This record gives sequence, structure tokens and C-alpha cells, in this order.
Amino acid sequence: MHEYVIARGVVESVRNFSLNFGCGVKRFKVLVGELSMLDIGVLREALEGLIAASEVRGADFSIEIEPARISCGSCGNIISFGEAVSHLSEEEREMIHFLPDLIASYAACRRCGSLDLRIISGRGVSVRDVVFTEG
Amino acid sequence: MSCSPRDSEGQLDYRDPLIEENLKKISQVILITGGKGGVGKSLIASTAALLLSRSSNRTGLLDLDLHGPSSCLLLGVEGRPVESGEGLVPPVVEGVKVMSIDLFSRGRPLPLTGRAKEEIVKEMLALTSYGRLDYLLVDLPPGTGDELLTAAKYVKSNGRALVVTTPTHLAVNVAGRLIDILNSVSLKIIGLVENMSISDLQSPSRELARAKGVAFLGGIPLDPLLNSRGGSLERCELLSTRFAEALKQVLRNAGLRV
Repeated sequence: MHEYVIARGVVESVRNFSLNFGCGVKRFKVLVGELSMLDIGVLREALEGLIAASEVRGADFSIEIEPARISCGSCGNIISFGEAVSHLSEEEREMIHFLPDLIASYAACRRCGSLDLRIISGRGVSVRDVVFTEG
Repeated sequence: MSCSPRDSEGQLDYRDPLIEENLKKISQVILITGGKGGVGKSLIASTAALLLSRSSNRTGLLDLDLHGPSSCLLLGVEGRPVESGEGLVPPVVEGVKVMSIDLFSRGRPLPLTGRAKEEIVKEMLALTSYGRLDYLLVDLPPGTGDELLTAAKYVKSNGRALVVTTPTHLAVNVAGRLIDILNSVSLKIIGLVENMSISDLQSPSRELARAKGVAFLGGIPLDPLLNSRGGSLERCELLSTRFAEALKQVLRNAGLRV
């Protein structure tokens, strides 16, 4: 259901953007950070349904996964998504699913053990490359 | 025609419309802030939430003290947020809907940088489904950084700040700077309350309120019981303290229905 709430926000933000410019939307891109661990199938289905029922009906969209990169603030080590979450339980992953920045509460640097982890990329969801219809 | 969204990174933030939708359902958002640490913001926020709820107000409490959340401890929150089609429904204690990062971090350390804190504040505002509320109290951390500024950005239409000080020049000095910041971002100030008050008449907080043109809502006397058992009082014990009684009067002075 988290995916559905996010889809509502995505469609509403595209709709507001379209209304501000006074023209229709041809397509847009949804960038999904790996750390959000969203179910892409559920997100896609929710977006399709909401777009069809909105003022931006007919708009096409693509979903792109942004790989997560996390840096250690202490030693500079770069940690991948797999390294960061491999030892976590399903319940712990769910907490990061809701608040990706909590990776620093649940993981540690594999090289030095520091909890000072900073997300470089692959955090949450954003909408990019909105293309308006001609005329 | 291609057009890039206009935010600083050329992207649309899906959380903005969700936050707007959530806040529209809330009559009043009150930011409990003070600048200085240890002045009693969290205790005031949690106790005020209980008092408002007991007076039949639909009440929520959002703990944005991201490094040191304490509302779950103070109110004895044991439940967890539940997913729904509208967002995360917070656990309820004595009628108060409580959302805190501690419900997700579960007592773990919270080593968060500025960017992370801004993201978390937006996510908690966007994803929490409080439903209709009369009051949402927001417990803010010490300082005048990301949590305060991000929350203030979103609550301008129905938000006001309650500034908490103590009768020390250190706390009053920081509160003065805080008031300047709140004025600069056009967030209305409901008033200033002096916690751990010694004398209502010779109070540096009252002087500050006068100098800044802010309502002085009163003083809350130092309550020895809270000093000795602050975080371990049962809710009914907390509500029967002199602290809670004085806070009730402060809330009434602020025009809240309690």
C-alpha cells in the first residue's frame, strides 16, 4: 500500500505541474531509489490506474531504478545496496522501505564499523523529464 | 515541448501534494520549539497533547526530535504505524495519534546528517495519515536547523509556533534568535512560555516577549516530581502534576480549547 500512496503523490505532482503550465503531459520518468525497496509492479499498476482517472490521462511514463551508493563519513568507503542490507531481517528492511535514511540506524560501514553512513544516490522517489504535449 | 521541473535538482517532489493534502485536514498545527536544549519542549508537547485530547479535541503528536525522540517513552507508546491506502496510520495513546521516528528506528542510534533529516521530515509529513485533527502538536529538537525550517516551510497556512524558554539568560538568548528566524519565515508565533519558572514577575522570558512583541503566555513552576521521575511517570500521574495544571492555563492563555 506504500506504493499506492507514493503513486498518488507522483500523479498529483505531475498534475499540478501540468496545470501550472496550462498544458497536457505526454510523458515523464519516475526515478526509484534502490533503498526504498518499492515493488515496481505494484507501483506501475497504481500509477496506470491513477493516471487513467486523472487530468493527465494518456500520459506515458517510465520507471527507472537508481542504484544505491552509500558513503562512510568516517573512512570514505563506498557501500552498495547489497552490502548495506544483506544482513537485515525483513522487518528491518521494511523500516528502511518507509524511511530510507534510516540505513544509518540499521547498517554500519563494513570497513571501519562507523554508523556515519551518508546516502549519495538511490534514496527515494522523484519525478523527472516531464514532456508536455504539443499545442 | 520538454520542460524541467523547477526545484533545485530539476525534479518534482511527490511528497509536496501529499503533505498539502494531509495538512488540509488539520485545523491547527502547533510547533513546540525553543532553540535551547533541556527547556522541556518534549514534556510540554506530550503533556499538552494529552490535555487537548482529554478535552475532546482530535489530537496528533509528531515527534520531530530526530536525534533524541522521547514522545514514545513519555507517553508509553507501544503500537506501530499501520499501512493503509491513505498512508501510515499512527498508534493511538489516550486518543492522541503519535508519530515518531522511534517507531521506525526502535531505540537504535540516529546518526543523521542535515540532508537526511530534511528527507525524513518530509516523509513523515507526507506519509502519516492522521485524518481529521483539531490540533497537531509538533515536538521540535533543540536548535534552529533542518527540522524546524523544513516543518515551518509546510505549515504556514495553519501553523503557529509556541516558544519554550526557562528563566536563564542562556535559554532566553537562544529564544530571541529563534523568534527572529520564525518572523523571517513568516510563521506566526502563538506566544512564549517560561518553563521551570521561579518568579512570573521578574522573568527574563517576559522581558524577551515584550521586546519582541510576542505574547507572554505565563510561567510553569519548577515541579520537583518531574525532576526526580521525569521520564517514568504514568500518564495519569503526569496529568495530575502541578506542571500539567500550570500548562493547562498556559494553553488556555494561548486560546486552545482545553
